[in-house]
Amino acid sequence: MAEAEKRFVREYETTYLLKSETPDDQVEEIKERLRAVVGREGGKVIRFTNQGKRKTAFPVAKQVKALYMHCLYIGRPGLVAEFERNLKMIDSVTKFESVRLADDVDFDARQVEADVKVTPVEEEQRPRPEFGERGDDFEASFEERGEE
Amino acid sequence: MARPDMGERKGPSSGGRFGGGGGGGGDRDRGERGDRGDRGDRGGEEGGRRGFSRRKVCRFCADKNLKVDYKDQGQLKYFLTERGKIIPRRISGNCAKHQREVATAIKRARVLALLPYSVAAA
Repeated sequence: MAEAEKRFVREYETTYLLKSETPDDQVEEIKERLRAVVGREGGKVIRFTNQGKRKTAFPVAKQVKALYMHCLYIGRPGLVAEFERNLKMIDSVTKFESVRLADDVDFDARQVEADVKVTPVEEEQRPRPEFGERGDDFEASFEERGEE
Repeated sequence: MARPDMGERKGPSSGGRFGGGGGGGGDRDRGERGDRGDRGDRGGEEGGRRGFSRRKVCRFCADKNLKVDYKDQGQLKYFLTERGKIIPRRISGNCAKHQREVATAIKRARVLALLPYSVAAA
C-alpha cells in the first residue's frame, strides 16, 4: 500500500538572470514568488542558489553584469511551463533556462535544502594556446622528414 | 627569393673580415642547392600522408568523474576557439557521445550569456 502512495516526479533546474541593479529585497521577493508558484503546482523547491553578480559574455539588457540565480525543484512536467510563464512576467528577469535533471524522483524522499549564496569566482585571465592551431609542431614534423 | 635574404644575413659577418668574403659566397651557393633538394623530397612525401596524427583521447572517457556541465564555463572554454566557435571533434579528440554533450552544453551556456555566440576579431 505504501508503494502506491509514492509519488514520482521529475527534477528540474532553472537558472535565471536578473538585472544587476536589482535590490536585495526584490531578489528575495522574486524567490518567494517562485517558491509559491512551485508549491501551487504541486512541486517542491529543493533550493535556491544565489550565484552572485557575474560578468556576462555579451551585454544583456545593455549591461555587462547580471545576477545569476539558480533554482532546483521537483514537480510534474507542466510545472516548468508555469514557472517560466511567471519568470516572463517579472520585469527584472532578463534571461532564463530550464533543464531536466532526472526522471522518477521520489517526491517525499527528496529533502528540501537551505538556500545558498555563492560568491562569484573571478575568472583568471590566462592566455591559452589555440586548439585549432597546428603551428610549430606541424612545421617541425615537415623539417624532420626533410632531413631523412 | 632566398638569395637576398641570405645575403643580408651574411652581410655583417663578411663585412668584419674581408678575406672570408669569397668563402661566404661559396657557402651561399651550397646552401641554396641543399634547400632545393629538401623541397623536392618534401613534395614527394606530401602526396602520401599529411603530418603526424597524435593519438587523442576523449578527456571525458579518460576521467569518468568528469561531467559535462553547462554551468562550468571554465571547462567549456576549452572547447571553444578564440572566436567563440565550437572546436570540431577531429581536433578536440572527444568521442562522439561526449562531443554531443559538449555541444549541447555550450549552446545552453550561450543562452545564459556564460559563453559568447561570437567574438569580434581583435
